[in-house]
Amino acid sequence: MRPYFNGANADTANSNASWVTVKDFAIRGLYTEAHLPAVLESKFGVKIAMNRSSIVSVKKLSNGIAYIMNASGISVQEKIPVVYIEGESPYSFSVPSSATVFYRNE
Amino acid sequence: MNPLTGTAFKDIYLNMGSSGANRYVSYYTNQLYTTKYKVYLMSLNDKVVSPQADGTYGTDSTLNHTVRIFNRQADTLALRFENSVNVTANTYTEFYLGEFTNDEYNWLLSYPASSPSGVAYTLNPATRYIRVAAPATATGRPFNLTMNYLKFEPVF
Repeated sequence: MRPYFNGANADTANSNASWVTVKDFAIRGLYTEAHLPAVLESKFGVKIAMNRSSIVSVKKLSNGIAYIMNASGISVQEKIPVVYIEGESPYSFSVPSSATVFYRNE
Repeated sequence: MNPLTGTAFKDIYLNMGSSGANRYVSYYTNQLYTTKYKVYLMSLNDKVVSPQADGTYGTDSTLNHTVRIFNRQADTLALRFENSVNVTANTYTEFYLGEFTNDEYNWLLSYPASSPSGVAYTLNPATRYIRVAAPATATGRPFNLTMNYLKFEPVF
């Protein structure tokens, strides 16, 4: 993830890369091995492929289950998503006084 | 309704007629990371009957839109991308603007940077300022601007 957060401050770039890597590893809910879905979704909307062959070990914790895996199951496309700037949410505009601005639903 | 996808449009339409040379609508985003993006503009250039009974607005003319992307550096704007497209009437597909490489993301992600809708409200070194602008001259054409969305598709 480091190349996606380049900047003048190396500490900031490293911190961002670390955060983006780990932020999707905690999933709400309890998923036992017997009922493990093929794909889990993090609270940030990132999809994680839970390939059973990638599970190295399973640890029971006081507040959930930790799956130790040898592959993350998260594609870079999930981490670095397509960005949309919505036209109907402008910061400002420069228009002549005669202009009419329409926010349309159609 | 987009006849190709069957989905509804939600957009902005600036009806400026012949007096909107170089005028623009602007946006901020903190969501672009340091990679190359393909940039697309979705604009619906059509005629609409307004429900406010202020008549039909819009045009059949082709509209010219210029998209500029700036870095904010100490309250000044540094141009990083500029390209123009002709928004033809009743076109329901995206217009490709070109490739934009974002060169720096120098801000901690853990800081609040945008609202849940994605609208940036914290301006910082990672902020990119975007303008969609009307042309300087448009002989015989209105200076209207219309924008459904700008799409930044990462190139992997």
